[in-house]
Amino acid sequence: MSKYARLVYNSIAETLTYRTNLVVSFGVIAIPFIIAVIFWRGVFFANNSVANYSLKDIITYYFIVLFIQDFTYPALNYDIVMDIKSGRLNLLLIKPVNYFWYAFFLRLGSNIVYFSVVMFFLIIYALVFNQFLLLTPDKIPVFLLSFLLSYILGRLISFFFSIFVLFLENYMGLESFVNFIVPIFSGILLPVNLLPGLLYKISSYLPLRLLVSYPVEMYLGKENLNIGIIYSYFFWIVLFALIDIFVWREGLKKYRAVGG
Amino acid sequence: MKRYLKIFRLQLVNQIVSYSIFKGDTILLLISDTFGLIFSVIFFKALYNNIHAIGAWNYESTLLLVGIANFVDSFYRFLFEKNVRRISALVRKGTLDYALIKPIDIQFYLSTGRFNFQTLSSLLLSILIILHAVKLLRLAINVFNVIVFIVLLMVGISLRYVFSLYSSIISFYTTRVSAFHSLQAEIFKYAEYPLDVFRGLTERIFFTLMFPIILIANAPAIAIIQNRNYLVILSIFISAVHFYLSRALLFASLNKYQSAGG
Repeated sequence: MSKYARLVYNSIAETLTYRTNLVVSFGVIAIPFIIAVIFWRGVFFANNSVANYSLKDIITYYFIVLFIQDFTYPALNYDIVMDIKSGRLNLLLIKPVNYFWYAFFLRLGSNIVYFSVVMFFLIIYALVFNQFLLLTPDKIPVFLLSFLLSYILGRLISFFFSIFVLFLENYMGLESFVNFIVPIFSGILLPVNLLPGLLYKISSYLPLRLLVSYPVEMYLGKENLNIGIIYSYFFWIVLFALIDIFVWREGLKKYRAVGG
Repeated sequence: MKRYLKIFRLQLVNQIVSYSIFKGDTILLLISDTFGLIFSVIFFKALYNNIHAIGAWNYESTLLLVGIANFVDSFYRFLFEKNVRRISALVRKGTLDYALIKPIDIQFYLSTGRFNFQTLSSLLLSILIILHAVKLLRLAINVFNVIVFIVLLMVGISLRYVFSLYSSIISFYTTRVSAFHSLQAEIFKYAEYPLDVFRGLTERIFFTLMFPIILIANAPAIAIIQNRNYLVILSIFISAVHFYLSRALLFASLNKYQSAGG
């Protein structure tokens, strides 16, 4: 087994250790979706459409967000943050592994557990709520391509936020900032098209919309994976790859390895 | 009662001193605590830009709901959250022994003492939103209205506390309960949704009796907007039932405590 495959295996085993907590965690994921169905059904009872979204569009939107957000959300990676804060990074730097790939595969392990369990729940929801879900099989290939690009971009942005802790004494401010801007501008809170004017304008200058909103809108047929969007994905992927390399190199110069 | 008030005052002073040591951190936490409330305002602003109303609820009345729901949540987090969430750690480590030997009501001891001052910013912002919504709605406020409103807010805080306590009580039976806390916190986040989105009878019963999120913000808002107080008695009754049930469960669960720790 290669060293990175071993990392994925260990991460899966660790995630599965606290099973009760794990199962209830998926309730935490499920509840917002069930309440979203109740809420939007209530909204559409009195309104025929919201912007250009129908009830099926909106429910399908949140259904897919539920599936992809764990993969593409650029949250601070606690494994990285704790490696830096505790000084454990010292040990990892002398090991024959690339730290970016180390963190990437560690995260992939928990993604796989999430994917396996969430798929089980999603199939149940799809059966229970099928009258609210929009099926567009012809859009699945563009959705998957867009999702793959979002995943890569999401990991790169997450790595950027996480290694930025090398410059900081405390990561809580950065974490609050990330958890404030990402749900609004990525489309987790609600489709970006529905944001009020100024927020919508700001979102068009950020890469966050590419992480959640674009893949879902492609599935819904509201966006096409045209050359402009593909360029946009590659532009941000290359930019964040370069930023990550720069921040990592400069951050290591600042890193004092004090731990504690 | 006088003794408990004195203990409460001492705990409060103690916590203010500890918060004042880390000023920078406290300011940062105060700012970040308002984010959830800002999310809600953005969400409903965006929604009502595209629709007229949800049943009988327009943007202004929904803003009142958002203010009330966040006030209740912030107040609960200010007074109780840190304490109640600590119970599972005390059980797991076996350090609940120290609490059990104290000459004080165990529920009071486990539920108070640690204040979450970072919620003061969202508490203040919630009050401002409530006042702004009341002004936008041009509501005629009288003393009776205000008393009913305050009673219903207290009912909401009590319900929020009780459900958090239920989650902590689970720690007597299983080791990790953080997900249970997250689950009930997630459900209570939807207290700001207008009553009219819950259309089915089953939904209304479930979210009034089992997870009474409807009672938290909708009951006070209906009392103040429509001058209809039919939810007052129901709210007080359900809150009292849950309170006594949680207390009984806590004492029954204490019998299971083995002080194992480790």
